Amino acid sequence: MKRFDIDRRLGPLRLRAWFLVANFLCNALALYGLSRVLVAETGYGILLIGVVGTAGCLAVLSQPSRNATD
Amino acid sequence: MTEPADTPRAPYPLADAVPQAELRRQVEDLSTARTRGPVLGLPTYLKLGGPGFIGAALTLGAGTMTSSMLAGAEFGYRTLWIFWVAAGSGMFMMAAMARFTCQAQFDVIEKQAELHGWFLARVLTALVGMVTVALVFNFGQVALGTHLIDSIAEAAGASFPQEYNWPLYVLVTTCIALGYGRGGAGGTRLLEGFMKWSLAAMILCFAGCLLVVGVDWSAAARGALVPWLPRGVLGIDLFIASTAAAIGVADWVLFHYTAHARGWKREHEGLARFDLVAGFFVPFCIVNFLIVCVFAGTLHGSGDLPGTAAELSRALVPLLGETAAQYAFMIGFLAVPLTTTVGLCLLSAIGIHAVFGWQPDVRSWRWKVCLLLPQVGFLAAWYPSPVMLIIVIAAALSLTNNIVGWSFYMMLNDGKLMGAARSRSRTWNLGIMVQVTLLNCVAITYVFNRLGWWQG
Repeated sequence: MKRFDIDRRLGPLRLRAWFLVANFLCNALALYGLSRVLVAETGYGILLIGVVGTAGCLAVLSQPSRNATD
Repeated sequence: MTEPADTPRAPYPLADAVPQAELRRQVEDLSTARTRGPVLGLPTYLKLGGPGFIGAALTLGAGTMTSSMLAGAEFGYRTLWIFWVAAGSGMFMMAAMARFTCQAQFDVIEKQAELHGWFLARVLTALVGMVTVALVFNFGQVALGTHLIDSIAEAAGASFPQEYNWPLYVLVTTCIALGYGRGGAGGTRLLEGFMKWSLAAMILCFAGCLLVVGVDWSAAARGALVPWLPRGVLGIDLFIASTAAAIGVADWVLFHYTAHARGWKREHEGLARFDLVAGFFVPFCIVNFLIVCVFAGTLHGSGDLPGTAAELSRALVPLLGETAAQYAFMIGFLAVPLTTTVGLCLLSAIGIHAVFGWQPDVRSWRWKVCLLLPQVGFLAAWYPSPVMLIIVIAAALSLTNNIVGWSFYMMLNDGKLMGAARSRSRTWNLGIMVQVTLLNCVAITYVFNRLGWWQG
């Protein structure tokens, strides 16, 4: 099976950089959801999406580069 | 002794002062220490380490101490776990710095400028992450240091107020900082020795105070091992701020350059990693543990608490009872700002040279002026710290530290840049990303606070 190549270029940046941006957005979503949960006891859905998204991005970003010539 | 003409130039000019013969001897000593095993080889590693101790001494300043004192006084032993989690999560990025220094052998800010642009490298990393930190945060160190000299004199029945004792404080820290990189490797060894012995003094003095105060070991063990946070937004803020503030851009980059200044190469990477654990992580955790326990055993539950390190220490000292314990606390605590000021002077000189792309030369007037700029903090002997400036700098740091983290993560995983030395470990990458995510959270909560979205 072909492994997902996180160091492939996509537009101006490598996929790894895009995932850093996605992780940041998921962090913001999680914190926004958390603030709603703590203040008004709503926003559980947003919190869940943010946390799952963050966990997914961290899983992808923890992948090492495949070889030295990428 | 003159080096042979074909000796390759070090990647960082300060390392040129280290004789090649000494570096070769270090490699042999490290090899011998490895064959002796972890216990018998330990003294060699401790003797050769140094940049990690500089990092710990820099981080353990008035700000960190205030947080620890307040944590102990407010929450007792319950937040002890945060310190090792905070320092532990920072170790992964510090290990990346060790890799950049020892194996990749480049100047991290120069390479960052090449790959990710001058704004990220020279402005966000060097200017915001290093220089402003060095200039602004020394006010707090001088205020605390001169206050403690005043208090020690008062306890001895003499009078040596802040307005008069600041030249002594500035003189001592300046002399030690100016020696760095001079006299072969002697000046560097002197500075590193000062940091090591000062950290040892902090640990001994605070441990002595703890013996007098006493400690509830079961509560301390629970606090160190079972995560607990106050309820609501306060708890989240405490966790994010404590974990992200323990180790930041200044610590990452200072370790990289001070390790470069030692001339460390590929064979030194094991030493660099040991230095991070024994010189940085362990003293950081022990000193914070002792401070939290001392304050948990004395001021916990005493109602309104002062907000600065100087006021907190003034409130604590009478509660220590024994005169010897009072002296021990004040002397141990004096080592905190002294070492941090020396570290901030180094950070300033290295940072300003990185901003402008200058080659550091410790004998030049430029280096000396850059090194001494943080000493403008002597004004704290008369005036309160520049609160507005601190707020602006703290905001800039909150909003940019994470982007610098992104950049270093990308560099470590750049196959073209790092070759075989790139990160090949999922755990290492994950550890770095956990710290970067915490730094993201600092930036996000800062913006949310301004928007009024983050209030309990």
